[in-house]
Amino acid sequence: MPRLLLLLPQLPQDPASGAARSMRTICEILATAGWSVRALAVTATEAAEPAPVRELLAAAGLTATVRAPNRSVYKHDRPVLEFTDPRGIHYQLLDTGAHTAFSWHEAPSQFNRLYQRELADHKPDIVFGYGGHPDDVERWTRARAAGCKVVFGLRNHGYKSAAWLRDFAGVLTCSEYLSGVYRDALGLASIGLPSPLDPDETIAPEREPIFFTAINPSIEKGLFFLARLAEELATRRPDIPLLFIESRGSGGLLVQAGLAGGFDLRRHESLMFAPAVPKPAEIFRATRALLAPSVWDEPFGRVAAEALLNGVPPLVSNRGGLAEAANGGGFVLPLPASLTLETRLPVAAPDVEPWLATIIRLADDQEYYAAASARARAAAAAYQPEVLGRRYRDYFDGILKS
Amino acid sequence: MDATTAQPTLLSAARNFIRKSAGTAVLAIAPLAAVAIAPEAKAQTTFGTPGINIGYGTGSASISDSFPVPNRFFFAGSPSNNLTTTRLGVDGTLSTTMSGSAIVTLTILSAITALDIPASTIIPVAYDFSLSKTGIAGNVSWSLSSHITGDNFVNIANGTLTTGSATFTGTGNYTTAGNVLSDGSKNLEFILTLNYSTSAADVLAVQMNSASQGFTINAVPEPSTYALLLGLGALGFLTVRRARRVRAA
Repeated sequence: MPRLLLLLPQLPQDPASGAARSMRTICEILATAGWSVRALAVTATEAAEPAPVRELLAAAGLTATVRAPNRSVYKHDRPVLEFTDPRGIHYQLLDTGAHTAFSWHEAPSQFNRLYQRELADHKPDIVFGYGGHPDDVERWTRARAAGCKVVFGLRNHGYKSAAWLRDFAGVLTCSEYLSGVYRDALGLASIGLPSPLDPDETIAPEREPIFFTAINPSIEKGLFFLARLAEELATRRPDIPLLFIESRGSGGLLVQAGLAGGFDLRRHESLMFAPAVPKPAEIFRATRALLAPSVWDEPFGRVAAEALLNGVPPLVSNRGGLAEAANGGGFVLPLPASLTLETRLPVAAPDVEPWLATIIRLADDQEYYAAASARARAAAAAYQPEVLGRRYRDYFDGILKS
Repeated sequence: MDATTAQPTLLSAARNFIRKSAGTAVLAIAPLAAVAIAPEAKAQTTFGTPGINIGYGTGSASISDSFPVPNRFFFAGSPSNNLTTTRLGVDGTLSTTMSGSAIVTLTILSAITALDIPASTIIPVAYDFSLSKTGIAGNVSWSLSSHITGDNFVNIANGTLTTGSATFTGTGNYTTAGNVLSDGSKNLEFILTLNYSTSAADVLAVQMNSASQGFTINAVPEPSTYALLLGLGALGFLTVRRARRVRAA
């Protein structure tokens, strides 16, 4: 039975990190396929206001036992949470307390001891994870020294040099787009596989296609485009409801963006917002079409794939990996070239016209909408668990044999 | 279906959906009109209260550290006190009871509270600290790097303590590689790594005089365009409902 160790510098169940959840889902695919999978990680998350970790785990149906530290030997040691999930993955989570995923590194000594024990006692064939902090890089080196193959999950644009990545058994990105970025910038070879999606979390059991929905109205997700789009749509077609789901971006942020452009979006009854929810399925239950005018280059554009799985046509910007994620099942629409992450005013009204026209047609023309929805479902075939699961299993089997 | 028949349908369907799912749906939808707007933010405090993290590398020495809270200092740059820079630091000691090699990482971090920093921004930084060794026979080498969460690690300076004590000063630049967005989770870190060999009962003191020393971050220029974002960053937390279950989009 092949053995894999998931090594993450944050909580694998982190609700604020799509990357962490993707890595965990990949491990679940392998565990379901008969791999022996263990995970060593910490409890830190990227959430600005994280819920207690035990609550997060309980929400996922997981109960951890707590191993108390032996401070007579190691003064700085912390508790360790331990549990086995329903797929048989054994987790050890070093309790890093209130620290975020970016600032827990006060405990690397204990983490390294746990890691050393994993390498020695369980002898993983593959160590799989991410992290470019110097402590992380040292741990990759140690895995290779122990005879393990290292597969690095490259999920963002954050790596500026590739020297320490080149000798790994594999570098796995979340899209061909991101693989291309690293190939062009750093000459790094990698394989791009779409992030796996958990159907239980993603697919709404029942759908009422009502709202045009934008998730996380933040600057990088197109805040200043969405503000103008909302103003134009609500003015011209007050019968079409537009829903904004808060995350890092919020309803307040959207209103302020509008005010910066001289209009108050709060006067429109068709504009609504809702706080973030733990499962995307809740969002797609009443979503008619998804709006994703991301300004920054999304490494993948997970939200577009989630929409497809629900038969929701995504309207995505032509930047980053969004078009690839839409997989021919959505509408790839332009953003004005002048719109950047530094833009602090809503775009001009003509800039939103292509989006507006598509939205209005999807609202008014039922046949057009039905065809778009069918196209979305067809494109979602690539993200079906059995399809993606096979691709991931093949990839890791190949690493084992390499 | 023509527009005449379609127009009332979706909005009324939305209202029906909200009505029937009130109190039961996970998705709690409210009109944008319910968003509360706070007064416009006036002052800019660019960095938050510092934290201290102490990490131990793969060295074999047994070390205890003492960097008590009263020895940590922080002066924020803000219009209210006319400081153009933020300065932070700490005094403390690293004591050993067993011989061996010591690799200690002292990270002083400060949260970026409401600031957006574009890519390629140059943030001038300065360092001024003293090291004193007692009982340590060999040299103490140090390196100082800086890091903003999600951005590059940038080496600022390196040095070696050869005599009993010495003060190290200098300047450098932290240049952001990518856009650092003010999503509340970013820290600016100074990472001082100390590498030395110890015998039993050695002490290495890291000293910064709060009146004049420490790590200094030159306040990032505040063009008028950033002022808007400051307000936005604050207002993002002031919508009417505070259910905060974050889902990464």
